[in-house]
Amino acid sequence: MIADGVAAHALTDISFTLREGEVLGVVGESGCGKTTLMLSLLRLLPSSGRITSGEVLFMGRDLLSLSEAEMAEVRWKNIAMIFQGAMNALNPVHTIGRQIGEAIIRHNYVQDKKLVDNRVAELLEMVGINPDRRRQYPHQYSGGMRQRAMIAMALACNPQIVIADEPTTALDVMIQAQILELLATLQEKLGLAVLFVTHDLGVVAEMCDSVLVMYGGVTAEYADVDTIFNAPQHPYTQELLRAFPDLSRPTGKLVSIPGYPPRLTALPPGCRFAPRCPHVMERCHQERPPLHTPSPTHLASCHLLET
Amino acid sequence: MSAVITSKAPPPATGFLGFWHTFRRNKMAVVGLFMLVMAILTALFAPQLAPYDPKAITRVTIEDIYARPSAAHWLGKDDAGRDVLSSFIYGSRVSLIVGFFASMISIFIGGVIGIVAGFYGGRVENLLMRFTDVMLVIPDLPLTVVIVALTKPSLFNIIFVIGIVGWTGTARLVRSQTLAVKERKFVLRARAIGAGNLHIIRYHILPLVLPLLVVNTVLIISLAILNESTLSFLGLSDPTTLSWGQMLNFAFTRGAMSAGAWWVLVTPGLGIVWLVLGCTLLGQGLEQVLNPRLEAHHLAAGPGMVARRLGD
Repeated sequence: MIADGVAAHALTDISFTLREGEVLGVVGESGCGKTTLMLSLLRLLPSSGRITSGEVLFMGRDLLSLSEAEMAEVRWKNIAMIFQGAMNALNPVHTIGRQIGEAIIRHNYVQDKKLVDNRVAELLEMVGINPDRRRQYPHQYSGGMRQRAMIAMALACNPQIVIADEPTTALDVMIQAQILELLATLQEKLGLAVLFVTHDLGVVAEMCDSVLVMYGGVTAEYADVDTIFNAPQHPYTQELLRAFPDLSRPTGKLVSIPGYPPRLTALPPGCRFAPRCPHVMERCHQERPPLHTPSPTHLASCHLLET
Repeated sequence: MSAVITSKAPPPATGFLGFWHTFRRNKMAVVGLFMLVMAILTALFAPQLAPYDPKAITRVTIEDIYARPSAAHWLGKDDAGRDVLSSFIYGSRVSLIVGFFASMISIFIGGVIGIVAGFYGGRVENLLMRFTDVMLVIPDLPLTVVIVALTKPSLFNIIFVIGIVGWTGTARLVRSQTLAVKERKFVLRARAIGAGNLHIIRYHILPLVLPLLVVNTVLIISLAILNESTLSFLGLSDPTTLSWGQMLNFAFTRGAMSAGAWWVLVTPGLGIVWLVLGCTLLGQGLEQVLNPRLEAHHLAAGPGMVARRLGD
């Protein structure tokens, strides 16, 4: 990916597999490229960004080699997205029902106008909103309901994959719990594969099957959820977990990781985490660590794993 | 999670009724609307309202030329012995027709160029906006005079020329609004849905640019009316169409001043002021109604403010 002026590589060396019905959590600090990664999967990067190399294989097809028109067909029909901040992702001048119907009409999911309306009502019912409210505008909805409406919209064309980009930010704790529960129920019921972007490790432990930990635009660690929580190999994952409250250690002290994530224009030459790493060694500053495989389903990029 | 969120939906305050509710409270807009409606009614019912037919052939004696206002002729007579009131009433038609149609042309050109430039960006935007800049710096009046002089003076040509000269401001305004709207998240969402550019422009950009266009239309109408009067006054309009600018032109060139016939000059002048003022008031009032953020903020300095700056 290239920002204007100097080329800045926002994402490199990221690879993951999402199986049918799997929930993959993507975690990392703000600004480490989570949203950029999701947008590049759908090829929706802003005009200053570009995908210079890589592959996005979806059911055997490389999405990056599709034409723009073919890609438009894949969007929402196969891969839908729940956006961060539902208020902004809804157009204030159209009713909720019309906006949910937008995707249905675009992909001819159902043909008849009456059927579109029925489908919208059915979707709203599914996410727990009174279908009569489909004729209302976004400002007449509460924050939690808008997020529900966004979920309904994502499910409009029965996609195989749903990308949930921090679906619970800016909601209070009670509503967050409701939304997460709704997502989990729907995921199970519809057998969705979900890419779940979040800051909340508790949610990851609860919902996800596997976890991708990102740092500074690269993979720090990628493994199934048990491994990440019980035997994390990358120092960043370990620090991240120590910075999160744990009910089983109520007296344990929370630690923060000193420093900030690197800026894309001033990346450290070696390991990107080296300036903040508690186990930093001499070679970390010079040499980029390759992705090691402590076990066949576990990836971690750290020099410590060499021995 | 099975609880269905239920609540009785309140009747939506949107649509025309909601708009009218807010509109009614804006005095400026209501006065402007009243003035404009009066003018439109006058133009529509000109044959019923006018006491005489301004195009009728009449015998004129020397007393009829610049005859003072009287009971039979409330606003007196002009240099050809015609009733000024009747000419004035019929003249409103030309002003309104030119105003509406010319502003439609302006708004259409300006809207399309603004939206296309703002939405597509890059080279397209550069090209269109530089063209707009060029049109913007050419003084309007000489340009219109030249084009009208080159084409046959007719009502259609006047409309066309005023229309293709007056779109630059609209284009710039619409472009900036488009730039702001296209960065909003719902446009990205529409793309994620698989929507194409045309759909996004029509469904997501246009509705948010529209209020601006409506306000601009009303303001441009007043400009077009003024332009038409200017051109007619300079004698560049079709001499057979009776307009207020034409009346001024005749009065000015045929010695109304020296004859002391103020009624021939003041009447069309006031008509133009009435229409332009009405449109401007309505336009500015609409702007306040459609964009409430323009109104003074409750924290801004004012008489009702609790804390004042030192020295106030």
